[in-house]
Amino acid sequence: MGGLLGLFLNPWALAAAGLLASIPVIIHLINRMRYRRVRWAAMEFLLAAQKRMKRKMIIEQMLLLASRVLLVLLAGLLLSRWLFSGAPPAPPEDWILHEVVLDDSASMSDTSRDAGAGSDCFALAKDGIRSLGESALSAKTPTRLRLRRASEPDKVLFDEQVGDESLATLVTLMETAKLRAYQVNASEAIGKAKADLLAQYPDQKCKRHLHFYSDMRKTDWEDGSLRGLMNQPEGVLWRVHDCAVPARGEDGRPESHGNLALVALGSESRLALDGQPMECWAKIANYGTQARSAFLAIELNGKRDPSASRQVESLPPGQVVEVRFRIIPSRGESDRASQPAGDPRPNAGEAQDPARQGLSRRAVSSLMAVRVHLENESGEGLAADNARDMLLEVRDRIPLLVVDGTIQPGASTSSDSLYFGAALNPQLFDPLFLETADLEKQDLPSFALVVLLNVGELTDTALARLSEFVRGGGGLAWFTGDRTVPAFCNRAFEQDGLFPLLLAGQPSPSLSEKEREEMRRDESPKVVFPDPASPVVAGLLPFRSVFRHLRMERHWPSIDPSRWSDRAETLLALPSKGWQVAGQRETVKREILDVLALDKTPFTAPSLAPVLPGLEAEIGKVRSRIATQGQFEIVTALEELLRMPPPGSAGQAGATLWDRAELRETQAKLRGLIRKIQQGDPLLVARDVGKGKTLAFLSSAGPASSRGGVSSDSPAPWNEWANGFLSATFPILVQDSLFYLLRQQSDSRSRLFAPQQVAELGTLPNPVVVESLYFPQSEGVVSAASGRGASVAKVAARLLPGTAGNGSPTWSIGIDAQENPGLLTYAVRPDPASPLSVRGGAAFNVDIRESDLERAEKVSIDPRGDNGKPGDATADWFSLESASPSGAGKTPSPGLQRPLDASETPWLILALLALLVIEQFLAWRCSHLQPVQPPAAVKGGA
Amino acid sequence: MMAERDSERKNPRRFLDPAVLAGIGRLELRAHQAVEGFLSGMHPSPFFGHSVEFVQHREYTTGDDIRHLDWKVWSKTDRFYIKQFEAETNLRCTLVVDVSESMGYGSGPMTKREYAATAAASSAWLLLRQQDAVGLVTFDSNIRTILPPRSQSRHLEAIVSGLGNDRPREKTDILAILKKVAQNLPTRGLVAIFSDLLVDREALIKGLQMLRQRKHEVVVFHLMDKDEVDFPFMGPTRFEGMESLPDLLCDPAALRDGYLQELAVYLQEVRRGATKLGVDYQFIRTDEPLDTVLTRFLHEREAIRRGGPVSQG
Repeated sequence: MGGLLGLFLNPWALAAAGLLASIPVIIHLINRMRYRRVRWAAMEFLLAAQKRMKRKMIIEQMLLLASRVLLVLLAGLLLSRWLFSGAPPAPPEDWILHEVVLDDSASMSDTSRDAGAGSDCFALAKDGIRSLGESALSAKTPTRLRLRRASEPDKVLFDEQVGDESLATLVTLMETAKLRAYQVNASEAIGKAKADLLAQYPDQKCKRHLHFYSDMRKTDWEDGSLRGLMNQPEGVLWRVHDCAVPARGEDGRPESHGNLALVALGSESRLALDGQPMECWAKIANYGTQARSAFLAIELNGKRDPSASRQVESLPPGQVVEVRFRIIPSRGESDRASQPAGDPRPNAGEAQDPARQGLSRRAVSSLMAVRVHLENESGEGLAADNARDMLLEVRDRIPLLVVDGTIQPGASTSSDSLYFGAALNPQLFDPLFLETADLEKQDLPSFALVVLLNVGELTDTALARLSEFVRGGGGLAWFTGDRTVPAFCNRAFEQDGLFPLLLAGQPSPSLSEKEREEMRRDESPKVVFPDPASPVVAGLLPFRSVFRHLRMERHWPSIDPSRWSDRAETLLALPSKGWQVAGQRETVKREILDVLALDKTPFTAPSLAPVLPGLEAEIGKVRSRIATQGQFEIVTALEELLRMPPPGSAGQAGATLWDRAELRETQAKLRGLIRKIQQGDPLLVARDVGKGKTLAFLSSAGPASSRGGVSSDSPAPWNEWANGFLSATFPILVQDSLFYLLRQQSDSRSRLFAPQQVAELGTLPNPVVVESLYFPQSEGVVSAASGRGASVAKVAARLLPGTAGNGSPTWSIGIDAQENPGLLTYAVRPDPASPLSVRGGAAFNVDIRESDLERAEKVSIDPRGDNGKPGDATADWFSLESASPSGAGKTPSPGLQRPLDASETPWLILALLALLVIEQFLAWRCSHLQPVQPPAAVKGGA
Repeated sequence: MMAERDSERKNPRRFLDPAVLAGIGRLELRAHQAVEGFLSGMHPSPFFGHSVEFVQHREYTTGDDIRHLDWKVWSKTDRFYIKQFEAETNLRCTLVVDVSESMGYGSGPMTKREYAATAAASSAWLLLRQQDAVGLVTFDSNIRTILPPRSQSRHLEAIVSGLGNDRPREKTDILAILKKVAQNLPTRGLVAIFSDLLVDREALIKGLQMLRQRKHEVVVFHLMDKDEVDFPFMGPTRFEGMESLPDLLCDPAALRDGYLQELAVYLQEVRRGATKLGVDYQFIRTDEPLDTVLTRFLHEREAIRRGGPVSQG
């Protein structure tokens, strides 16, 4: 029986048909029992007719009955899917195993105007998997299907033998599947899928298909890991399904379409001041092939800021355009009302409790949500990358910790602190001056910045806490002096670059009176700007010409620049002394003339012919300066040359002739030469460390050195920037440097998805989460980031314990991975009884790596190589066409081509139709509904 | 209501339908061939007598009344010839009505027997009105009623009563019946047979032949119900045979074709046999109005007698 049943896909349909076949017979018998009676006189004719037609009638009735029975049986045969092959049930080695990996990265939401509404790569992939399941259901051999998403390589979502019920489960699974908003490493999932596929029924020769449904972007394939997996088949039949929209052409060439994406959003400071304008920027990438324009809409706490929103007229293809805008952060009255009134600083009784002080500082901050989005950009490409969120911490003043290594016990300030404090704008900064010993006790996360003034050696604990502070996003400024210990600074450099460069063992020597007099007479600048375009020195640049009067006597020279210069940025430098050496000077001059030789490359390029006359005039000026002027005049001439605008570019601010591709190399050479001419030892160096920044000023903050320092033998001042002729620019230097430290690193606030740990809370006694809200972008986030408003989803935020560098317990806050980009805000109380709560949050934006929709070439993704033919036994490549409204035109599910069963051949259907026609004819004939003409004799008789 | 209906059914005068009588009242039923009557009337007689209708000359023989000699012929031929004229007599009509069980079938308002009785009563009324003598014979397997021909108008009551007395009973033995009828009719006359003729065909023909050999003019009114002619039955039906015929359970629609063919053969044989014997054969569907049927019949006879075309009305 089992063998017989094996000949049918649905054997029970045949059994049901066998039962149903008796229905016509039963109906016939019932009709025989239900008749009416007529007393009849002319029985003679009736009997004669019956005698004459009896056989014919019986035959016709039997034929009709047989045809009806056959009809039912044949229909049952069709439904039972007779395999017709006579083959026995498939042995285990004929099983088909399908391992499916679904790419659920954000780029799979790509859609095209040609693909129709509601059709994107992900929908196409889900349709494909559904079709695969349906085909597997009708397969001749038993089929097992396993499904996993590329974002969760270890989690198998579906693992069942395909049947009616399991197919329904698969369909439901496909209907509810959602995209992740971050980049997914598909190779890991495919590697695990392949291993699992080979591990199933290892002793049997199953057909093992590995399906990968993806949009096949170039960025996913260019690292070669997927191709490497594919090149090692090891008994796996590769089925690569390209779900890209629009579909590839006949030749497999990818069709591309444009996509505008917001790839970055940042502000000049991660900490905004209430009412103070703040410069922000957004970067828009045009991944298309045509120039586009877009309207950048900006919302602050859910309200559109019309003054900041703007039209971006030109977005060149393949380029990223930075759009800058200015916002005015505001804490809002509601935020102020919700926080403790009065001066948040601790009272006298609490002053001795640094933790309490820290909590008070944290509690007075507010959050402001900044969202930018590209309007009217949802028709094509990704919609998720058309918006970007940023969360700013808004305060009345910037909390600043100043650690002065020269404060004497019992004193509140020193010379350096005095000058440094005077340079701080009290409207913007809220400094706390401490001596070195107090550093360890402070709640560093409650400060935005830490400044070390002429600090000697710190303890390891203090250094570890500083490192943790900076890596978590804080800013650290070093102002050196005679107490600076170069060995300690170099140790700090070794610890994640906490000190941005390596110092020499000794500071520069004190100047003699003669040297001091020579310096006073020297008209050359005492400070040079290695990169005048850097916004950090933008405030000082207008005073560039008067820096010749600056008295800069001592500093800490750097050593071994090859170890730190590539990761650090020199913002200010001392003038080079090499120019004073005739040999070096002449060498540099020759190099400049050689680079600017008009008869050599690149100036001989035909494309430069139109601009060559203008170039020739400017280069002539440089040549004349080289012949007659000093080093800084030459630098000025070279910088003017490098600022030369391109012809006909009056409207493009900042564009130069040297931006042309053929001149870029020459431009870099000239900049190197400028540095060589003017730049000596670095004076102000900055570096990114973790999420924060560190900066070192290699001279003292104040004019005088301390007593008892490493260079206390010299009572002379290190510099007179804070108290001399240029003292007015010292606050500019200090504030610009501090604001530089507050600058966000590239998109550091636009976190990626799925981190469990969102933010570090630092040391808190017994924290309690009192509020955690999520504002998904898909809901059209418009509410205030302070937690009030609509479209808010509650999320379960958890407190995660940790350990600080000094071994003390710390806390951080974490949430589960979010599927929708958006904003998280939370409020944490240090202990349940505390009236204070600390607010924080984070922005979750789509991974910018998902915005580049350029497709991989067919040769990269086709497992058969360039010359493969469709239907390859070991590997195949399928291009899933975008679904038409009718759903037609889809590629049949691969790997399931099997012999047609009898129900799929036309013959059984034709037989059924023929039998139906015969039955209808017999029924019509036996019903005797056809008109019978009475014989002429009857008509005549009548 | 039921009692009223029963009393009406028992009333034999119901066979005298005024509508029918009004339809045929203007017409006359005349014999096609000479009949032997006992009164002079409107029908030709086999005996030559005084009449305006000259028939032939016959050579004078001894004993002939010399009043009938045609002297004009004698003057021309010098021979004696007798002038013979057609004598007119009254008609002696015998109505032979089948009251067997098969006549009890009827799908319409009247059974075949009621239709036959009405037709016979109407004919009797017509004949009596024209001073003809009318007799009645009803039969099934035997003769049930026999009334000799009378021409008195009160004889109509007897005829109508005779028609109403008999109930359908047994099967028909037509040969024996017609033989008895022939023996009981001493003089030539008109024999009108009202029957469905569901009898043995040979016996029927033989019986008719017997009547014709005795010089009777025979008119056969072959009555059939419309169901018997059209056989319109559908669906499984059990036909219960009358007159001792077996039952049959069948799909009548399937048998209709064969039934109609058998019926056609039968009707053709009956018609042919009757025509061959000079019997006036009238096929009548009982769903046809009786006045129409009788009027048409009387018109046809009148037209045939006058040698004109037979009207189809």
